[in-house]
Amino acid sequence: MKNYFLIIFLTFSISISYAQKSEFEKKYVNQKKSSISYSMKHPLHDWDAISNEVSSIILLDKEKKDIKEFAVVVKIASFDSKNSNRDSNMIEVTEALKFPNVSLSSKKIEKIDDKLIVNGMLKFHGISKEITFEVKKEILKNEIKITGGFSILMTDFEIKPPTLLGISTDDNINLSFIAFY
Amino acid sequence: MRIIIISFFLIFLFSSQNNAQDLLNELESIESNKIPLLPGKFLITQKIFWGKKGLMRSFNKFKLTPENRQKELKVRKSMLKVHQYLGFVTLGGMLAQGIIGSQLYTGNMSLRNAHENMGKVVNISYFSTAAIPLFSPPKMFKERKGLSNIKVHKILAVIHFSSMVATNILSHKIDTNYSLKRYHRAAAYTAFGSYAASMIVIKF
Repeated sequence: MKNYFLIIFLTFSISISYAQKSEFEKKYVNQKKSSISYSMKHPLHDWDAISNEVSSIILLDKEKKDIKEFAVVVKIASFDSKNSNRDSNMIEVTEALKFPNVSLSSKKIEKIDDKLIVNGMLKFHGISKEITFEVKKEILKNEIKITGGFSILMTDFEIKPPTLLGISTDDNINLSFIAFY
Repeated sequence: MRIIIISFFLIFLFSSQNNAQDLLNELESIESNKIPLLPGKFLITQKIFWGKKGLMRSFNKFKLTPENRQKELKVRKSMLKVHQYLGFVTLGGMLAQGIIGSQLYTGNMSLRNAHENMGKVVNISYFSTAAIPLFSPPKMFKERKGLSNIKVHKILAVIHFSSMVATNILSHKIDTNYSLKRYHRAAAYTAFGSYAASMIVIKF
C-alpha cells in the first residue's frame, strides 16, 4: 500500500513539475543582431570594443512574456577594439587563455514597468561576483529586445589594469549590451 | 509517509530548477574554449623565433601551449614597455642631435665630434628600439580592418626607418661630397619628424 502511495505521489509531482516547465520556453539569442561592448579610459585616450559573438538563453513565460531566468556567455577573444595590439593586451591582462569566457547568470529578476532589475552572478577571470543592474525589455513583433549595461572594477576580479606609456587605465570597465531573442 | 513527502518536495524542487545555472551550463557546453594561439599573419622576424616551428619552440619553456603562450604575452608586454621607454630616450637624443647639427650648419665646427658621438648614441638607441617589436613574441590577433593609431604608427615607422638609414649613408658620403649635406639634413629632419609623429599618434 505504501508503494502505491509513493508511485501516485511521484507521478503527481512529476506532472506538476512538467506542467510548470511548459509555462516557460527557452529562447536563444539572435547572434547576428546582438552585441556586447565594453569601454575603458586612459588619460591619453578612451576606447571601446565590441563582440558580436554573444551566446545567451532566456527562460520566458509564454503568456506574460516575462523573463524568468537568463544566462550569457561571451568569449574575451571575440572583442574587437579595432586595435589588435590592444585586444592582445586584454588577453594577457585577463588571462583569457586560462579563463576564456565571461559569463553572467540571473539569480533574481524583478519587474518594474518595462524595466527589469536583475541580480546576477558575473564570472570573469575565474572569479564570481554578484552584480545588480537595470535592463530594458521591449516586446517586438517576433522577438524580444533587451538592452542594458553595468560597470565593474577590474581589481574586484583580481585583474591589474593595463598600462600605456607607464600610465594605468581606469580601473572601471563599462559594459553595455543589446540582445534580440 | 515521511519518504513520500520528502520525495515529493525533492522532485518539485529539482523540476523547478530549470534555472539560470542550467542555462549557463548549456551555453558553456556549446561554446568552444579554444582560442588560436598564434595570429593568422605576423612578421617574418617574429616567425623565425616564435612561429609554430620557430627557433624558440625547441626549448621546453616555449613549446606552443596555452600556458606558455600566456607567459609569452607577458614577455611581449615587457619588451614593448622597454620599446616605449627607449623610444623616449631616442627622441631626446634626436632632439639634441638636431640642435648640435644646426650649430654645425652655422659654422660652429667645434661641435663636429659631439655631433658624431651623439650620432652613434642615437643610432644604438634607435635601432635597439626598432628591433624590440620585430623580435618580440607575436600578438594574439592579426591586424584589424580599418585605420587605427597603431597602423599609422607602423606606417610612420617605415618612413623614419628609411630616413634613418638614408641619414647614416649620407653622413658617410658627406666627407667626399660636401654638396650632399643638405640632403643629409633633410633626411635627418624627416626621421625626427616622422619619429615624433609616430609617438604622438599613440595618443589617439
